Amino acid sequence: MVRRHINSKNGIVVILLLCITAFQLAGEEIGHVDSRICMMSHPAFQKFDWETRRFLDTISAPVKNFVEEYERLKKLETEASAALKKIEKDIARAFVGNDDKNSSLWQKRRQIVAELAYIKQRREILAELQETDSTLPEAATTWCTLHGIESDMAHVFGLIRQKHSLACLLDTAALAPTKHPPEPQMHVLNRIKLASFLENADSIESGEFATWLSNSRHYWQRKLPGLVNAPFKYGATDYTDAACSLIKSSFEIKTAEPSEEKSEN
Amino acid sequence: MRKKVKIKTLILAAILLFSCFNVSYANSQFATIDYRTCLSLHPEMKDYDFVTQRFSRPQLKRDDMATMQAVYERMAARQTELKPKVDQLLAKQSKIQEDISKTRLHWTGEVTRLAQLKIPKAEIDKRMVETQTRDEKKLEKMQNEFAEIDREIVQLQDSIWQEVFLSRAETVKKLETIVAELDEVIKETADKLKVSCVIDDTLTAPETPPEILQNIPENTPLWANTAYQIILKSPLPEPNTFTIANHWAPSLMKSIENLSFQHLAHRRDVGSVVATVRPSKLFISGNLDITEQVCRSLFEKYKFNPYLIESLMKGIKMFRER
Repeated sequence: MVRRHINSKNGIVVILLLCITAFQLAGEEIGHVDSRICMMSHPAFQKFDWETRRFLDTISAPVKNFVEEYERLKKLETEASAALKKIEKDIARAFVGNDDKNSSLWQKRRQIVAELAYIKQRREILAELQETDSTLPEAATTWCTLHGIESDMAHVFGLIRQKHSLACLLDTAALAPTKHPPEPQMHVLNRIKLASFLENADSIESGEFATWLSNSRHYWQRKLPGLVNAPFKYGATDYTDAACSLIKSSFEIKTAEPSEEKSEN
Repeated sequence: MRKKVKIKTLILAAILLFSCFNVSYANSQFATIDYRTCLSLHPEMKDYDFVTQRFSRPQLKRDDMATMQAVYERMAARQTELKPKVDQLLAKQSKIQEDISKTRLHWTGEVTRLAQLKIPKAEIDKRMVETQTRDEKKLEKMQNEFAEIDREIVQLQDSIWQEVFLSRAETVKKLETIVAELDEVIKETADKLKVSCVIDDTLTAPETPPEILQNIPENTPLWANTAYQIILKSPLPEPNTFTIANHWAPSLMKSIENLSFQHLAHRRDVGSVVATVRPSKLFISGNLDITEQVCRSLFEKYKFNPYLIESLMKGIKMFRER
């Protein structure tokens, strides 16, 4: 009786250990993406005005003509309200009937509700701008677009990690250089070659070798930036292209829930 | 029956061991490398000439003075012969460069000019598109001409230096071979050490600008502190001599240390200053750096003598720890 108990316990432990081992072996691949490229490939960035640093066609867009803008919003509101009424009727009909359209109808409804929220927020911003006699909304108004882009990116990165069973997904942007290396001192490099150090091993321990090596590193970083500036030298697969194509197919963002607003600091 | 239980226990222990091995393996899946150091010290780089940006020909008899003299004379003669042509090409290139700048300026001016015209917006947009398309075509043509001249100059330089240096194309090919060889050694080292991923963690590290250390911002809390001022202005304490500075030095140093810890923790701006003098590290501890192993493998592959290898290893260590 006791032995059987031990045996069955052993069996569970064996299965558990096998599961752990299999899990560890399965999730070993490491991936990387360049979040800067992914961000730029987001549809919202196609309408980013680099001059004013605002997203066009969102609540942060600069105003060209207040009258035209109000009229455009009015037209949009009329269309969106009509579409909302229609979609709600369709939802009610789908609820009564047996066809499986419900989820797509709710999806459409969410889009229309977001559109209406955008109209409301944009009107508030227009009113503020008129009061302050300005045409450029505050920089903080871009937060909801950026927040939406970040959410889309996080979603896509999650999908990629899941699809390719990655142990971890790293960001190239966090490891890549943020600025150009200093100009190499060419007089140092022109004066001595690596061959000179190799011919006289004792000269390697001099400060001259360290200076030469430092300048040589800068030289090659400037000469072969694509090769040298890539932080992953072996073993990590690049999923930037896959992430970009997934992000490109995501929706554009106009509004976000005000309750989700983050501090700009 | 007892034997059966023993076997089962052994199997269980083996699986447990294998599982533990996997856990430790998963913990050491990253390694770091200083790729630029490995590339700069690749043995084949000994022939790279930074002035001409080409590799010198390995079969060249540099020690044979007579041969080298004759080679340099031929190079000088060829250079004199081709100089007018090179100068002509360079002049042509600067003319094109000037035209490129003018075209770019024209586009900016045209946008301003069109915006001031009293014509319908659609007409302005149409004219802007037309101007932009025309200018873009012109720019592309000029840039192609510029690149073509560049190629011609490179070919002329190749023909001048051909006896001593590899051509530009041959240099690029040799560089590709060097990079491929380095990548292969990294892969071999990673496989040997059971590392899944190798990262260059030196790229974000800034270089030490010495002037930062000299220019202490006057608004730091330490600057306003009298003790700090006394230390700065006092002569350095001399050993075995009774001076006021010697007497007070330990307690002054202690109070400065205390002040530093109190104030620096509350100063966010100090972080950016610190970043310029202390390169941040990706792994604080538990890291496996394979720079030295990769370099050693390369040196051994090229049959460097053991004394030279050890000197190079010391040199790399000193450079990285400075």
